[in-house]
This record gives sequence, structure tokens and C-alpha cells, in this order.
Amino acid sequence: MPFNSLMYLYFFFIVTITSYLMPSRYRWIFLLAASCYFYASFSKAYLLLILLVIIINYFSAIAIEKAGIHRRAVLFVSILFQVGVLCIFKYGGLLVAVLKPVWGQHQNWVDYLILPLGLSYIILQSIGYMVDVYSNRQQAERNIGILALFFLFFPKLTAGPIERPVSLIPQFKQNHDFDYLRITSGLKFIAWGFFKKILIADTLTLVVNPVFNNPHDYGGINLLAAVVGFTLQIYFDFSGYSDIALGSAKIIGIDLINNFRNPYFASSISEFWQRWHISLSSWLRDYIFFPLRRYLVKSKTSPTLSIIVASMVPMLVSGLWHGTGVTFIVWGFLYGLFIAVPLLIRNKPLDRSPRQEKIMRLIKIVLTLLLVSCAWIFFRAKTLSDAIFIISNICNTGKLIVLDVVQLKKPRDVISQIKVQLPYFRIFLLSVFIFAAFVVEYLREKRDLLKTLSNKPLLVRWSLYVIVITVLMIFGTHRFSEPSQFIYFRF
Amino acid sequence: MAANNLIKKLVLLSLIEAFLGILICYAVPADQKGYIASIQDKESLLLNSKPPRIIFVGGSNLAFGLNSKLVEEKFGLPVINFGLHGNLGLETSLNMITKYAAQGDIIVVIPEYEYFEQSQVIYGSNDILSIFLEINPTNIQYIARNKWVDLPLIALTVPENKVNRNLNLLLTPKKNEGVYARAAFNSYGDLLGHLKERSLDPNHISDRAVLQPNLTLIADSFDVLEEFHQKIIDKGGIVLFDFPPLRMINCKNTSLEEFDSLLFALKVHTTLPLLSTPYDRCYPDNYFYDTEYHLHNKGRKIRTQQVIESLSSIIK
Repeated sequence: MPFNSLMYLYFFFIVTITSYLMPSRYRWIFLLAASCYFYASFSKAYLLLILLVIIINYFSAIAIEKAGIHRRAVLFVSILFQVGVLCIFKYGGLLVAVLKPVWGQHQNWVDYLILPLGLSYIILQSIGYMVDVYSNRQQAERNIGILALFFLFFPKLTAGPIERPVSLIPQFKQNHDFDYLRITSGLKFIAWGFFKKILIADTLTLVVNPVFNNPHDYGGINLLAAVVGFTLQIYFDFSGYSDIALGSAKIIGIDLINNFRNPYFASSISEFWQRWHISLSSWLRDYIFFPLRRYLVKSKTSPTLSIIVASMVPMLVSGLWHGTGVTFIVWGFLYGLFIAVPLLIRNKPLDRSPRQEKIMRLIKIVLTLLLVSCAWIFFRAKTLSDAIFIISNICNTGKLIVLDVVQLKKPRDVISQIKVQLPYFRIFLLSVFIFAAFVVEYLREKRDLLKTLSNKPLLVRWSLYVIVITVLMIFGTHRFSEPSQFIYFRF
Repeated sequence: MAANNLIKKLVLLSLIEAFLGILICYAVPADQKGYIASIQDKESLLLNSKPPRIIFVGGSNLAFGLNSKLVEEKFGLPVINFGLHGNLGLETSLNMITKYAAQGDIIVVIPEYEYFEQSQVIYGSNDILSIFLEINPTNIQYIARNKWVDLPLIALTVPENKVNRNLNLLLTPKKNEGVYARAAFNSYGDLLGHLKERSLDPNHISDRAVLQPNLTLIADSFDVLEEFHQKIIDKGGIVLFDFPPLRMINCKNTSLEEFDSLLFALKVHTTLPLLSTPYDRCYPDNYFYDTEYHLHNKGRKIRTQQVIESLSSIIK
């Protein structure tokens, strides 16, 4: 039951109505049951595994609180358990493949090790919960149902945001009355999420997938188009998902973390990570980077080595968390490098006029976007050799395009070499949608768009709603029949 | 109070959208030239021919791979080829046939193998059913009950299809309709457009197993067939079952156990007389046009002869 399916819309409608009709003290029970049903719609068997993880978490957290001087040991064992479960399902296949020559051909059980949906997110949240209980930032939750709901709450279950217990658990215990503004803003979030996912990300799939699945069949200009396409696709796919998740939770009365803040307008890689998948990057910062830095300072490691280690380790963990392939490790390594290098060669800030500062920021944004796009190649490519092939061919084509421009060839001749399985009018529409989406996202960061919208005359507001829904209906309805997976579901 | 206000506004917004949808459906012309549009001609054949008739029903394997004229000449009965598209859903086609079937009709059901393992081939896929509705909104009566939950989506896809098709045509006009077009069918409902075309390179046709290893056959597929069988018996007709033509490579790649389990299930769960076995309908790879089910000239001729031979033992 993915978000972009008719079944989800039916499910969500019933859950919303019923949850507001329920007495508030029983509401969490209903939400927990609905979340279990939501998970079971993907996999019934793995629901039991997830419930087992939650039960162990429940008792571990209470044990940490009561363990006195042994709390560190209990924390260590419980984190080891969480990481162990994740490793078995995420890296079990890889491990067996590596050990195959030693073990022989008898590990059929590995075929059953498919990563349970949402497990990666649940494990990060449970590690965060354990550490928070250990450091007294959070009390161990005594109501196992509420704790289970914290992990299983359906809008964020499949691909985050990675929530903190301190912000989410109290919300389940509060009374949520019907709030007109909250519900309408939730609906707007959902509509905007569908716009980004269905009209942009899903259409870009047709540009991206054929090329990344068989890069050797395509020339440099197509590879370049696919890389640009994927850079846009992953943003609109994931931020679209996040908006639907946020909107769904908002309607039920729960606030989730906003996962995105215009990452492609970042002027450095560090800033990019403060804007991209914010719940993951803040988790990495709080539970890996800060403890690591404290340890490095304590152990009096040299500043250069400290910067390298503190930049590399969280990014490599991020790479490994995303996937088992070498490409993900390279992706994480590249980000570690992109963060560490500017810190190592940091110069004294120059005195620049505001105009120069603006131009400089623009250049930095473009350079950051280039580095990010380059890293996405490793993220999306099937193998490392595919990624290297794509980069080297794009570089060669870059030279040819420059030559073409020097020889005064028409830009249309260069563009016409791009093979895309899309009619021209869809390409035109896609460009319009992408432009409109970036404008809205930019304005969304600068001001409270929902508030601005609510101050507009009725006719303007309703015209906008009708336009967005009509565009979704005319160009996106068929996507609900065969919903495509969100990219981040597989992590 | 606030809840009432919200409900009123949501209802109003839905009404505006419904009005716009209806306006688009009314203003933008329906697809009358496409492949699925030929269902109208096939339906009028059912309506205008006199029983007893031989009616073939199934997916595109029939549209591409049967010479109805030869069958008509052999048995002296009017023949209707009602095969069109697997994803129209066999139940949709069977519902249409049930409406028009009469005493003495002989109905030969030949679905593709996917019918036994994919619900969209039993009940239809939303995209094809939306074209089916677009062509004639009264076609809603034939859509399977199991698809009613998807009806809002199917209905909403109608304006989407219309707008997109017409925009596409406007910006990139087609020079000719091609093989997959209403005009490519003859008066029996056989597709002829592909017969003058060259076959696709066999390497570009999938070699897949048509029944997946360790597959679970969908129980509904047998129930739909048996229910249809009983309805036709009640109307005084006969229903026969045959297997679709298949490329030899696909036959080889599909395990014997899967074919046998399908045969066994058909005998256990239905009372349909079987005209052949899956192995009888495997043909050389070069007999096919563009998919593992679509026969070309030579294959079409041989398959028709074999179907005639199988029918001869029943139609005296």
C-alpha cells in the first residue's frame, strides 16, 4: 500500500475519519492497529520481526534505566543487537556471496533475507532511543503500545523521517481535536507531494532508468541527461514522499520533522547535508559525529586527522546504511572528502562587496550542485565500472560539445542526440513542472507559503487548488493504477 | 462546525473537479481509431449475427493468430473473433459474450497463460479498461465486480487519456495508424495489419517462461471460467477451452510441471472440455510476429488448421 496508490487514499480516509471519531484516550490504540495493518499490507511475516525488535527495545530501555553502573554495558549490548539485526538483513546476502567459495552452494536460506521494509529507519530510531535513554534525554517509555506506535506510525514507517522519541512520543499522548487549519494544510502538503512524485519524479524515471540500466548503450549526451535527470528525480521523489508523510501525519494531528530545505540551493556540501534528508543527517551528527569528535578531542588527536576522521566516518556510515554495494561506499567516501577538504584548506574570508558576495554564492551553489550530481552517479549506478564509464563518457562528450559550440553548431543539433522515451509535449510539460516546483520550493523557504496563500482572495486560492488538482488528474491519474516505488523505500 | 465547513469545501472542490472531468470527456474526442476501439466492431458482430455461431474469445493471441474465414468455410457457421487484448480482462470479454450468447452458440475460450497468474488478465488493467470506458461509457456494465473498487481511478483516467492522446497527436501527427489500429481488423474481427509487415527480430522477443516456476494459480481464474460455462449452458450454448499459441523457446523455458499442473487444475476446477494441451500449441520461433503469442502468416495458417481439426471432433 504505497502512498501513491488508490488503496492508500482509501485507507487514509478511513483512518482519519475513525481517528477523529474515537475517544482520544483510545486513539493511539487505533493508530497502532492501523499502522500494523499498513505494514502488513507490504509484508505480514516481517511485521512479526519488527514487533520482536520493538519488544526487545522496550525491555532494553527499561534495563538501561535500572542498570546503574552497568548501563553502558546494557546500551552496548542493545545497540549490538540492533546493528546485528540490520546487518543480517542488509548485508547477509553480501556476506554469503563473499563466503560462498568457502561454504559452497548450500546457503539457500539467504534467498529469504530480503530487507524488511522500513527496518533501516526503525533501527536508527531505536538506536537513537537507547542513546537518549542512556544520556537521560528521554525516559524509557513504560507503555509498550505507545513505544510500538513511535516505531510503526504509518506515515513515517516506510522511509522516514527518522523521528526522535522526545518530539514524537508526547504527541501520541496528547489530545488532538479537529483543527481546520491543520487539516487543510496537511491536504496541501499531500497534494504538493503527489505533484512532485507523480508529475516530476515518475516521469523522469523514463529518462533515467533506461540509461542507468544499460549505460553502455548510450552516448555521453544521453548519459549527461540521465545524470541531470536522476539528480532531479531523487530530490522530487524523496521530498515528494516526505511531503505526503508530513501531510498525512499533520491531518491526524501529529507533526513530523521536515526532511528537506531546498538542498540544491546549498552553497557547500556541509550546507547541503543540513538541507537534504535532514532527519538522517541530524541523526548522524548527534549519534556519530558529536560522540566521535568528543572522543577525538579527549584522545588529543591531531586537528587534521580529527577533521578527516570526523568527516569521513559519518558519511561512510551513511553510505553503508544506504546500501551494500561498493558504489554506496564510494558515494559516502566522496561526501566525506567533499566535507573534509574545504575544512582543511579553509582560508581567511575575503572582504567582498554584497554584490560580489552574491555572485560568489551563486558560483558556490553551482559548484556544490556539480559535486552532488557527480556523487549521485555512484549512488544510482549498478556497478562501480558503470559509474566510471558514465563519468568518463560525460567528460569526453563535454569536450565534443565545447568543440561543437566553437564550430558554431546549432544547440538543437546537440540536444537532438538525446534519446528519450517521452513525447515532446511531455518533455515540455516536465520542464514547466520542474521550474514551477523549484519556484514554489524556493518561496516556501523564504516565507510561510501556506500563510501567504491563506491571505490571498478566495478566488485566487481556489483557482490554484483547482489548477493543481486538475493538472494532477490530467497528467498523473494513471500513476495511481501502477504506483511506482519511492526510491528511498529500498533503504 | 469547522468539520462541516471542511466537508462542504471538499465536496465543492470535488464537484468542480468532476465538472471539469466531464467537460473534458465531452469536449475532447474519444479514441475511435485505436486498437481497443475495435471492440465496438466486435460487439456489433455479436449483436448482428445470427446464432448458432462459433465465437472465439481470449486475448491478442486470437486477434493476431486466427483465420476466421477458414473456420467459417469448414463448419458453415458464422465466426466471430472476439480476441483483443489480455489486459482488457477475460471476465470483461466473457461478460460481453454472456449478454449476446444464444442457443446453439459454440464459444471457444483461449486466454493467454498469464490469465492464470495475474489478476489484471482476469479482470482487466485500469489503463485498458479506461480506454474501454472512453470508447463507450455504457461499457461499465461489463467491467468485473472485482474492479469496482478501482472504478474511480478508471473513470478519472478517461479524461487523462483523452487529453494526452490528443495533445500528442496535435504535436506529432501520425502518418499512418500502424498495426495496432481499428482499421487493421477484418469483418470477422481478425487482425490483418501485421501480415504485410516483417516480423520483429526474434532476439527482441522475450524468452521467458510463461508460467513461473512454483507458481500459485489464481483460484478466481477457474471460478470465472466455470461460472461462464454454466451461464452459457443455461442459454443452450457450448463452451470449449483451448490453449494459446506459444513460441517454442518459451515452451521449452516453461517447465513441464507447470504446464501439467495447469492442465490438472483445469480438469479439477472446471468442467470445460479441453481441445488440446499446451504442448500441441507450441510453434517454431520464426512463426511469430512481435511477441511470444502473436503469430505471423505461416503460424496463423497452421494454428487455424489445428484449431479446425480440434473442433471437427466436436462440431459434426
